[in-house]
Amino acid sequence: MNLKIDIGGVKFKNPVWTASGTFGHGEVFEEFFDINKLGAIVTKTITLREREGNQSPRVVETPSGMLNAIGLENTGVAGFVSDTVPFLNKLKTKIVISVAGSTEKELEECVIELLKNYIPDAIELNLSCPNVQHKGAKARLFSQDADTVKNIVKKIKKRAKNKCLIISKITPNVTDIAEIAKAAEKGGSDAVSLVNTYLGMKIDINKKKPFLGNIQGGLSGPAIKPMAVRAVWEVRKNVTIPIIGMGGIMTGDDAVEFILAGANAVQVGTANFVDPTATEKVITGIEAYMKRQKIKTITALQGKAH
Amino acid sequence: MKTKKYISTGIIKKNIEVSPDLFVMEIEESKISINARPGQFVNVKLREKGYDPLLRIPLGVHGLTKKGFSLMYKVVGEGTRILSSKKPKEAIDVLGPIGNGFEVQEKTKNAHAVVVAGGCGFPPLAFLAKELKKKKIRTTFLMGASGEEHIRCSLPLSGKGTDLYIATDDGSIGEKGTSVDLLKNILKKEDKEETVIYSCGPEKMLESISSVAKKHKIKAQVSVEEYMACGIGACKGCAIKTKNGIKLVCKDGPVFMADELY
Repeated sequence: MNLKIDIGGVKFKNPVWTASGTFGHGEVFEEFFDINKLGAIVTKTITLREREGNQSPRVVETPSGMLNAIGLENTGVAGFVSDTVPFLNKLKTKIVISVAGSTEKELEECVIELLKNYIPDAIELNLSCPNVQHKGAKARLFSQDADTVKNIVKKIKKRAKNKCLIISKITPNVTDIAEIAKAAEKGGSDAVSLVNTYLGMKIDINKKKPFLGNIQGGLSGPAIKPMAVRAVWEVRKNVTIPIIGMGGIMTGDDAVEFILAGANAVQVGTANFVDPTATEKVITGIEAYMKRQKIKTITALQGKAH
Repeated sequence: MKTKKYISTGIIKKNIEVSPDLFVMEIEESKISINARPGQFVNVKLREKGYDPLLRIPLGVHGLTKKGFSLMYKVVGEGTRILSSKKPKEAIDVLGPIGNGFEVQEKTKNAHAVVVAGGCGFPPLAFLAKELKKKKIRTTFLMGASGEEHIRCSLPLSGKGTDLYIATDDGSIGEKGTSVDLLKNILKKEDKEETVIYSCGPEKMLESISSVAKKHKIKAQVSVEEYMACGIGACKGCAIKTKNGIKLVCKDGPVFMADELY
């Protein structure tokens, strides 16, 4: 059975990646399974400067899912380079660094600073975190505006000078996500990853106040899977670049849905909180499906439901 | 001190309502119980299949049993209600032991442990009290609660080497007042040099204990809680502000020095 995939010329041993923000950098998962089995590790988003993150409570459960408003807490690109890069260099799987910025300039500077010190296999541009404010932008989130996405991607592609893949992670909090994906493609993005979380809230009826310290947060988990599969389906119809699909994947069968909808790879996020070995189980689940269906290579399934 | 964490499937031996809405569950398993220390907690999966609820719930380890460990929990919401409906012989998926746990003081000549429990903070301190007894450290256990549920459970702790004092809001059992009132009284008559305070309970209580400890120049360890998702230090959901920057309750805690927080 062949689970190998190719995205923009970079080969991944299988299509199962971790979703940014749900796996740290991998260190805390090492005691549960061999994280080198993963197709790729997508790290927690870094920003140019250190960020404290949002006020607590930052997480709360909702039906078949959860809301998070972490707020991109991270030690900044300098802290990342000194504290985390040595660990990443020891790993034997593909590394994707998630990068964000509250302004386009900050995002660009973060990418430049990162690449001065470390070349990952890919950079995932977090154009879609709902828990930060994008200042001076046309829309609240960069990927809520097509022109903004096209221009940012163009700039970053230029800066990256083909040292690594550029993946655009886009938000589903838009009217037409395919339009946004097309803009990323026009800007030269090597791939698009979707969906980031859906805006949501929970109100504590005893305290009569919003639950989260940041009031609003991003919804993830099984509750969003139908919407995420549909988003991947729409984007597949409209772009030719590879898609990394995510949104409530808990099992190998869930991952297969996304692949059939058009994803080349998948990311597993919230599932890691329920079972630290979830990603490993998704890989073996995909293999079990392929065995049942007598399918030899994973690429044979890509977009097959269309 | 870091402990290796396990995802362990245990068997429920007992799940008994010891007081209205207060349950003790004994779980037979061998990986977590071998390494668990007082102040550490476990993340319990509520459903074997399905996604409602989705996330695990964190519960402090209440004690060790012959072949496993015990949890004590109050039914306060959907998660604990589901837990209370589980029957003996059922399997249960538990992740742990999580967190740093209390740093139990050395057995010096005049070592004195003052354990202050408020309501739902009782379970991990019960575990601690048994550990202190094993190390033969003189213990004063202060139990404060608004109702009798936890109070009844604290009674077995008193005995040789452990003095138990109780306080209730209305004075129906023990003194009228809070565990902080008990603490202030105890410290008045004690030589504080080799005294350490250990506490778990509502945030306001921990803040008050911190100021009492500061006043008497005693070190206090407090176990705090925060809404969390992963429990293993990956998601940064349980972050709290401390005097030494942002820390995670699951990874850097749940036990902190009181003067680091308040």
